[in-house]
Amino acid sequence: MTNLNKLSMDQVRNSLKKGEFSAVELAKSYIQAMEKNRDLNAFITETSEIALKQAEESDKRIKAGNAGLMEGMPIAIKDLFCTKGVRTTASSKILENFIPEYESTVTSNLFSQGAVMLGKVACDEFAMGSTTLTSFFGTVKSPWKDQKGEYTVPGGSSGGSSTAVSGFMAIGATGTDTGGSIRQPASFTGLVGAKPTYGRCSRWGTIAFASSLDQAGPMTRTVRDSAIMLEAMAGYDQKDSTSANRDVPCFENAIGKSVKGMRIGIPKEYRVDGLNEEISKEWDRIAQILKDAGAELVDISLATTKYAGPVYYIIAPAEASANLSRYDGVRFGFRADGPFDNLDDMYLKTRSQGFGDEVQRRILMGTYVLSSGFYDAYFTKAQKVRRLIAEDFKQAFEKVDAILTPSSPSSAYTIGKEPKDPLEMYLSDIFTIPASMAGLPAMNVPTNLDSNGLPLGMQLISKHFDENTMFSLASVIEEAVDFQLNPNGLKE
Amino acid sequence: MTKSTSSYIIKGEKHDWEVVCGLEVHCQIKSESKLFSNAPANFGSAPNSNVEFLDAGMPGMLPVINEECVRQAVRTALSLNAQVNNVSEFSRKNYFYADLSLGYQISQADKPIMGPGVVVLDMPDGTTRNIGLERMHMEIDAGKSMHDQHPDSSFIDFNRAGVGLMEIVSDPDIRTPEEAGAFLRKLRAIVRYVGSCDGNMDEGSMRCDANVSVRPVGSTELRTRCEIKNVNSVRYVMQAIEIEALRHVELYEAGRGDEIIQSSRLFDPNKGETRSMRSKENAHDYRYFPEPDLLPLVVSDELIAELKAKLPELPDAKKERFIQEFKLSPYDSAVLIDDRNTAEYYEIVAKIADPKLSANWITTNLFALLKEENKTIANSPISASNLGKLIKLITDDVISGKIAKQVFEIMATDDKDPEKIVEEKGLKQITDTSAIEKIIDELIESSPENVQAFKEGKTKVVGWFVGQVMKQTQGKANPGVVNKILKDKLS
Amino acid sequence: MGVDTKTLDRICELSRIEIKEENKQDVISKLDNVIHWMDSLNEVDTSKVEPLVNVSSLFGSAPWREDKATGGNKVEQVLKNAPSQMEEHFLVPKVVE
Repeated sequence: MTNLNKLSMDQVRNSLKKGEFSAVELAKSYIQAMEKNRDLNAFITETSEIALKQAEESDKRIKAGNAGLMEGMPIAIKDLFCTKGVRTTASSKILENFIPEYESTVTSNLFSQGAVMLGKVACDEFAMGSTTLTSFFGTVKSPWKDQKGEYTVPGGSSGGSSTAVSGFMAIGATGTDTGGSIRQPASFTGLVGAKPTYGRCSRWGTIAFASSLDQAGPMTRTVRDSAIMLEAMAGYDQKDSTSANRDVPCFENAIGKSVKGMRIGIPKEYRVDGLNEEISKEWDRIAQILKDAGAELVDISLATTKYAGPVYYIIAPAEASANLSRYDGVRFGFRADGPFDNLDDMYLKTRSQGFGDEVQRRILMGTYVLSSGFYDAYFTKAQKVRRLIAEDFKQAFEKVDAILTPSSPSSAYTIGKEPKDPLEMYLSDIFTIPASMAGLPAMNVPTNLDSNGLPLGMQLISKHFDENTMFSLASVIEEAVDFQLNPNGLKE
Repeated sequence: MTKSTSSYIIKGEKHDWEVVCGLEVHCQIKSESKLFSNAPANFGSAPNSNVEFLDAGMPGMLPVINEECVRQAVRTALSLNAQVNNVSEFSRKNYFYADLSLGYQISQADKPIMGPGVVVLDMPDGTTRNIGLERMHMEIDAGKSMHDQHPDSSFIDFNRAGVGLMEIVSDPDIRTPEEAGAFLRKLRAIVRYVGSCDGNMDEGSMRCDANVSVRPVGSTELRTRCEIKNVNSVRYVMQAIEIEALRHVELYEAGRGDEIIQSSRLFDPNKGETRSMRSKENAHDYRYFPEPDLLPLVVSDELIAELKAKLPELPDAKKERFIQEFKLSPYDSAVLIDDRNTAEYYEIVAKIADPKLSANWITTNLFALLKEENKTIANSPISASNLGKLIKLITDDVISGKIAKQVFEIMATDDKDPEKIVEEKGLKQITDTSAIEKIIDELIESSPENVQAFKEGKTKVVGWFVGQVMKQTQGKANPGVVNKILKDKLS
Repeated sequence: MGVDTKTLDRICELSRIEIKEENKQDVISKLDNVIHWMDSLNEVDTSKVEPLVNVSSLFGSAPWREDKATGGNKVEQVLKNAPSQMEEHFLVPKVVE
């Protein structure tokens, strides 16, 4: 690996400006890393030709003094964002050969700010999962091996993104987060992963999992990179009725700002029974760092926290069950081989062969909670408790400016040793889900390695549309912990 | 089994039965683009050319509400004497079908844009009857499946997918097929007045489902209803209700009432029967839930007031005004206001000529002419002002009604000033008494037998004299003058 | 409440998903586990709470767009990914109404 791939976005920005290397050279360097680490299986589709062409354009714009926020930055795109003319699969067989005729707003924003696309990276099928083991295109390995030298999972659902960035195959990657799919893989691989306020990034052109929760965000190696990339991705979009009609501030300005006097909430409900002691200690250590930086720690209560999981696993599958009805083999995507007895026979065969087990399970769960007789008891109930969760946070934010919690109850699982029961797997999202239910901005900051040599991360949650507070705190933590991203499973 | 003609009662062996019917009318919203996408909403384009990625259900596509569709729905609600809900909500109605691209229809469930309202029916005997409306909600239309193009495949065209619909649901207040017909005609008149829907049932811009059940007269129960889907003309709706009601009565009377199950049926006008729809046999569970891609639809009081202020005069108000202003019978007035263009045409005519006579001429002669030439009043071969002038020539005694019909026929091919036609063709009525007197004197002289008959009390012969005068004057003699002179001379 | 074979068959039919007979018990037990977990929501008093559908509704209502027919006319793009098409139509196994 060349040194170019170790540079942060702001370093690249300066170097490109000074002409120390070109965007094309940088792209080539990343393409090399991408090709060298194909065994990690992060990329479903490599787009080197597009990357080189885009890099050439970047070089021209840099020369002309028209550089955008992401000028020349080689990034990976989660295969949930539709890219015009480039296969977009959602890591599913059902979209194995789908080539969109349109560009998602988020990728379009990134490209108009000069970003360079290296390829499309894997995720859990339709973003449903926490390991990226459910991708139709095979297991994605994290560049982090455990102490026994076995590969771990990169987290999920944005596991191709986390592998690509932590493995220095991309300077950043887009992720999407429905219940933690940016923050958890970032935590597993030692990255910064930010989910902005719901509505910050347009959902137009992003394959939907759960509409009221899905939110795009950046996965990067530094907090500043996260701020730069989020600014490029975000913005009001008339094509998304749930998009926030608000100006996007300069997130980078928040980096390095003093956090003196800020009040940081420590919610007691996150100190769950049997919380891993290492993680518990790490939480205390990071809280102390913020205190040392002049912030005030406040014990708070978020009483509904324990219900966030059940609420999420009702609402997300319910929305998904409808969002995934369009995959029926009629207009695009996979259609099972005929002949068919009738239309329904085609639907049944196409969907049963086209969707993997976990996706089928979620569709069935969603159909169940919406079906007659169960709707009020589950779906409406969950939406009501969802409001209570949002109100809990609102009350907490009257007392504090941000909340600090661990991002995940564990570090990365060794491949093959992940929980096998769905419920057990679902319980691993409990720290990230509550902020999703309330639509709050939240991010993972890598802080340490555990005794198994695997990354640990802390989650910061701030008020709606106040990503800057989150970024300021994150940059303070980042500086203090001096986390070294040095995964042990990469080919040198 | 017989059917009473006065009120609609189906007489059975065991009971007298009455029909309980509610209608669900789908009106395509008149707008340039679709309800949630900016694809054109017009009818008759090349297959799949009015389709945006959203309408084809492509991944990641999102709905955005068309403001004109909201305005049209509000206008319609206001014209149906209904409550406009300030906050309404879209939901997803989930089912699989080849022409449903998203796998769900975006519709309104618990919180529709319009609450209860009322439609006033104008019955042929001049009376009115109120039919309650339960609600009106907005939703998207589905695409179209075609089954005859290919031996083992159906063709799907999504041009219609996503076009805005207003579904207007009546209470089960309808008791006769005639009321159902009157309801549809009135509703069509209203949406056309407001301009929110074309109301063309043959083109499918207005479609009707009829929920039909029967019950013994005097009972207030609601028995199992069957829904007859997608009937495409007013006449067929009336027929379908009649046939379905008879089917229910026959089954109940035969003690086979349990065979009536809540289900969707199709009306076959050729066979004169309804039959169960195979594709809808599986009991549905639509799993409605609030559409998470949209936020609540908020309509402000200001907007409602603004749209209300700009509403045109509506059919009921116009009918009342015609009765007051033109002294028309309620029935004539109802006929004239049925179509906004007819009403406008009538008003022009009635400002020139006698209003009642104008109404007669339009509803008989002009309507017959339009029917014959397969034209609408908007492109009538005779302009309203010329028809007005023609009718005025009658009341001014310039021509007789009979001559007027001749002139009318000339105007139908050559729409010019009737005075000129009368002038050119020399059709002016003879009111000169001396000229008429002369003819009558000659007649009395030449046919004493008829004079004798008259004197013997056979007054019918007057007709013979009038006929002769008309013959000799080519119909131009004023009939009033002829009668008066005859009376004087014969007695 | 729980999931039995009948319920599973019903939701499979509604969602057009086919579970092989030999896998049904496994799917049922996994769904049942999750649904029992969801039942914990019954502990929460929501009698005076309105459902929250989308957090963005806390900040505004649905935006409206102007009624301009600027879209459509992309038959080729719309049909490009179709598994089966003919004469500018999508093709599906024959539907009997």
